[in-house]
Amino acid sequence: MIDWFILSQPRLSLARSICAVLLCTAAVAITPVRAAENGPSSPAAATAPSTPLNDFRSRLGDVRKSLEGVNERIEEKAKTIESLSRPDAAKQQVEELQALISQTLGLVADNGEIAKLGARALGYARSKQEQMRSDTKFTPPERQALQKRWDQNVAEMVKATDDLAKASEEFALLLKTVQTRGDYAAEVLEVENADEMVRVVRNLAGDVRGASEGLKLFIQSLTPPQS
Amino acid sequence: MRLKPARAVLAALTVGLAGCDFRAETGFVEIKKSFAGLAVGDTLVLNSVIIDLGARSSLVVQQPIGTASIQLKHGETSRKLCEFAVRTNRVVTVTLTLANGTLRCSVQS
Repeated sequence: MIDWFILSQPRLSLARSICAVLLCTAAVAITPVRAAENGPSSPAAATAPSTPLNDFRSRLGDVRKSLEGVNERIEEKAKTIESLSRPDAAKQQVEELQALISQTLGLVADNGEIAKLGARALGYARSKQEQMRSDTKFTPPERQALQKRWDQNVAEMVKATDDLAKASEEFALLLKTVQTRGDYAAEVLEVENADEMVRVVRNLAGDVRGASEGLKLFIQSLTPPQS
Repeated sequence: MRLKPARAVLAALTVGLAGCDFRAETGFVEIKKSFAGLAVGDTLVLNSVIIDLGARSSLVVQQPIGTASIQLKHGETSRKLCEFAVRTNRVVTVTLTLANGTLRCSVQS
């Protein structure tokens, strides 16, 4: 017993390892109990199974929310830019705006996570559509009903992935506008005409507002496909 | 009081790591094409990734900053169409045109 309290370093490590194993075992043992406590009526249990379609649908919902948030921040930034009078502050605001738009463009870019999920979901929907066409298990009315649902699903998926491609084009255009105006302002600053530079950057606010209104309408039309 | 070497190293590492941003800086490449499709067996490659425009006339891809290039691959042979710089939080537009059966590339950043 006394030996236990005067453990040497290796024995202490051994004790820690044992404790870790015990903790892991307890965690594994508790998990099914918690799952059972959640019951079939809990929200966790009620969530849809993970399929490429569900993954895409939920991620597209997240993207839409974050686009709305970003659009608000772009509008705020446009307001700030309008009130600027110092060239250094104007330059910094343009750079921050570029970073904000880039962050969003990264979300909807053609090699981004959401685009990959979209392609996978569309592939899945098309394979199910094909499966229903060659099905022999169900009765003709059942098969026809399923076929109709999958046809509709594929059409919605195509629309959603097209919308995403359009979003990436829109954001790329917005980023190009901002970077070109920023470049021009930098040139103006280089020829030491600070007032003109501030005017150029203020005009940018108008462009950003216009693009933001367009984006708002677009975001409203961006609808995840139905199940 | 003398700081032990191990603690000094740990402190330096902590300070050093705190200042690190592990996200790689990126920019964007917008690829536009003004022709129907590539010849059979041809593929477009951006750095080392195959670009499939399909029926679309343009697409936007995120890229790490630095020098990037677009090549036209046909089997084992590859021809560099253009080389350009990708800069932080900026878009570089690459337009591909087909003139007299030859694919050309123009860059606007």
